Amino acid sequence: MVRLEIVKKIYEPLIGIFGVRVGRGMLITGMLIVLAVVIMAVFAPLIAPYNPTISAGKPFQPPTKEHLFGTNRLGQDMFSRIVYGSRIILLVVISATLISMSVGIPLGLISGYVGGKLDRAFSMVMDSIYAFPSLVLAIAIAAMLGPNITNTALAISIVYIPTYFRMIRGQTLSLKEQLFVEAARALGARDREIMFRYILPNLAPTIVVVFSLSVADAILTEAGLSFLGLSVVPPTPDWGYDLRVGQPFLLNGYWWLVFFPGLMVMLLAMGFAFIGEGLGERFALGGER
Amino acid sequence: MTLLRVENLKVHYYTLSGIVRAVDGVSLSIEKGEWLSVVGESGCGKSTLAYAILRLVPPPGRIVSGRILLDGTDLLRLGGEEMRRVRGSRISMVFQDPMTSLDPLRKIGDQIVEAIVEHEELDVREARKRAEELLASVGLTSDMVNRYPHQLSGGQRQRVTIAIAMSLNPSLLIADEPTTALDVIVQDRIMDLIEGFKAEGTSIMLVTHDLALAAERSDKIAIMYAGKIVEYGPVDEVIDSPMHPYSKALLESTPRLRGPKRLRYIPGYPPDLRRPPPGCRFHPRCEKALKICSQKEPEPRYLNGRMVACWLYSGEVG
Repeated sequence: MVRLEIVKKIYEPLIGIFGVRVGRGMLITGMLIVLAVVIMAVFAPLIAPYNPTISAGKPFQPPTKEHLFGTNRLGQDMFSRIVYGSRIILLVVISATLISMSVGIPLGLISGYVGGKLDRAFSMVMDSIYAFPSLVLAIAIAAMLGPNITNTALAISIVYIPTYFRMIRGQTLSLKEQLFVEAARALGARDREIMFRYILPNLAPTIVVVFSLSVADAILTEAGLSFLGLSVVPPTPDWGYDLRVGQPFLLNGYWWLVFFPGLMVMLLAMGFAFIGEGLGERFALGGER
Repeated sequence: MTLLRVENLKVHYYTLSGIVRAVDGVSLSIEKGEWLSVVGESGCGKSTLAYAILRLVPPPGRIVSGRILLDGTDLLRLGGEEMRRVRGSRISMVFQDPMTSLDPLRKIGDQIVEAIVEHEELDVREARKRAEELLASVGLTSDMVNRYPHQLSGGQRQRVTIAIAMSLNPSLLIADEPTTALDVIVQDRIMDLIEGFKAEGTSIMLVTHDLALAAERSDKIAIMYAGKIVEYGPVDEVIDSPMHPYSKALLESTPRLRGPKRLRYIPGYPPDLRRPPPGCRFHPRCEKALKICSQKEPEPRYLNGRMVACWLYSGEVG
């Protein structure tokens, strides 16, 4: 989550000046961006004017009416590639995050609730994963598994498990001291029930916030992986891949090859980060605000 | 008939700065349908005692020795699952702070239903009906089932927690300072409510620091000081003629309408339970302390239904 710190640093002073309204504005902006990309992904065949995998005209055309974002070296329409690319990135990132959640949340819950040696063992494993820079670890795992969509999603999911684990564990530690948990125990509730029926629902706000923040971060990781050629196989349209392919031609002045994919990666990551930050503001998580 | 008998119970907290002897050799008993109040200052171990009876002492606390007999079965020998079944159905507990002892995310009705189906195989519709009856029995209207805890006042919430605690008709209700967070009028109503359940045969163990509150409703009273019960007996006798100097001092520091204008106070502080004073634990603050008090711990003495642990009443010293 290191890179998101930067987004935070930029916005924190604004929150200081304008108060909660910035949080709300962020939430709405973020939701609009994400919604737009989701619509793009769902209705890609209707929106994209050309087939993204075959040549649609002359190569290296700058943005025109026919080719809104120009064409690449194979003459493929960049706009269509971006529209279809949103499908890949959303699919990979959302499924990766869901995997991280379904592993990290139960582990964090059990670890925090049970405590003792089990907690120490789990925490040690998670901390050692967390100690790696997320991109480096993702690269290592993706390289080991080989480039395809499933493996990319897996690699990303492993990287973000500790994020969920740590958040959930911490919250569980404080929630389990709450009197209503004590009261449930005094009524003869089983440990399993206390964890999943009393503590877990109370973690919902945290989970939602961590979800959008980690999706934002995972988008950057996915783009990074495919930039390095560790994600999808060509000619599948993918933002990170297009970034890499377009990058050598930047010297020729073909700016549109990298500008639009880069912009989209940034916008989508920002969209999710805004949602996360805005919601965090709403739920007053983090305490310092 | 004796419902609960606690024998020589010791509960210690193993903290980094030493062993805290929060409950150190406590014995008491509660008859069926009887109300026992455990009275003492903050930190005297009375809440720990309450938690220990349910075997819910939070770590690093541990029940070190003793026996807790419920209808003759030692709770300390039960397995985890058997003990779980005792909680809520045989012994249940009401906590001090009604504001946080309900799950903020779930409706009142659902929380009562949850407690019922935990122990009894009832379908949800029947359990819901029971929940409404229970709410009525604690003086709330049945439409409260659809409310969330934050929509209720403190007194109403405490009624709900009592309804939950009473939902399975337990033989013993432990109430740990149930009215401390409430104002006096509400306090009185809650006490009426608990007294009503007592009239139906439930035994009550009230843990409180409020001697006046305990004196008003209890059958028996146990005065606790620094992890030990110093005096124990029928409420009238203990209140009218306290024997232990600590009980006397506690009574004299309770305000009364007709009595001395100035209240007495007990000089000094309760001892550090990591290093309790030798001999009688009250001796550094006791104005009647004898030489032996600081050397040897007084044995509990039983005199016609009362118990007192003080050298003043020991034949040896006279």
